[in-house]
Amino acid sequence: MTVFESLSTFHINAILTILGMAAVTYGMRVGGLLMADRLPQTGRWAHVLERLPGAVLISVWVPSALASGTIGIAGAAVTLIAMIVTRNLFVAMVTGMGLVAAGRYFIV
Amino acid sequence: MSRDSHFQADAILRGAMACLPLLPSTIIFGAVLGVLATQRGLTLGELLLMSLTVFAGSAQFVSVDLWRETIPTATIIIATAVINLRYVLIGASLRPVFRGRPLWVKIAGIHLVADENWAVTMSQPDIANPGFLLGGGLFLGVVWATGNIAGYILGGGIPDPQIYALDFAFTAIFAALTVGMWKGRIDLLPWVAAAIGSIIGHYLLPGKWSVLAGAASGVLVSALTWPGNTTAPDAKPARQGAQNDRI
Repeated sequence: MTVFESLSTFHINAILTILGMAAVTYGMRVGGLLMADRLPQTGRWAHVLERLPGAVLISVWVPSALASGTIGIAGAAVTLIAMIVTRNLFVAMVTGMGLVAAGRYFIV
Repeated sequence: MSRDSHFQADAILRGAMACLPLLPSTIIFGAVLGVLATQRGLTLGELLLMSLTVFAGSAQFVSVDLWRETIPTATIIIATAVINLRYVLIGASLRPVFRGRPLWVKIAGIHLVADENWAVTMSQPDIANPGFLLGGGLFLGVVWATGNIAGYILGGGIPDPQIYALDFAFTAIFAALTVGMWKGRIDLLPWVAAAIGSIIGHYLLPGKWSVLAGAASGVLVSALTWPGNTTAPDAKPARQGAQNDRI
């Protein structure tokens, strides 16, 4: 199959599966937003919602760092320190990636 | 004209530029997914449809991995739902970004939300800007789809993401962006709880459940550490409860 054929070929079961995946994913995105809109703007719930992004973000990267092993934990620590010192996202990212790449090259 | 005030061109551009550091990793992982999809029998058209309608990297990797000639539709949709449960929390946390906007802006702007442009948006000093969020989403969508196409065309000739630690780029970006979300000591205990919860979840639970375990721990601790804890509105339900007990 050429690239163009592959681009223009769709199977009905594939489309239905993909649209099902899209529907549940979009439902969660929009459902979370509209649910939060109904929560009070002040008080305990507002306080919890303000803490939510940090809590979710930490829960995304801490397990990934662990999954990368010792060098992953070191890489995350170095990234955090670089970000606190430089306040520059790109510098922090490259510092962490550099350590992990070097660690894998020289140690593993 | 009124559209411009919700999704301003300069905000979309700034949002796209802010996601620029994610370009190499996103394109390589998009290409890796493209290679996997050819092996599993998805056509390029189907993969691009998935990338632009589902728009969630980890769920797409798992789904394409589960893909067979006879498609296990129910398994794939359930796996997608489980992996993407975190988007309920991500959607909820986007409330300040869409504050005061009409419903159509929320319905249109919430689709192209990945972990990456969400995190970049939430660490901005002035986050109440759906255009910035959309700009990052559009940028990542184009790069992600470009990677998919490259994977299809190049086949096996994709560099291993591990060599330049491109797989670590996402971890590094998310860790760095956490620093910008720090609002003071009030964040300390919820953040520690989230970290501990996600670590426990990582070792005890399958797949992406660690995200939910960590977020749930953070939510619980932030609810318990609410500074308004001792004031009157909170004491009321307790008193009512006590009365009910007596009755």
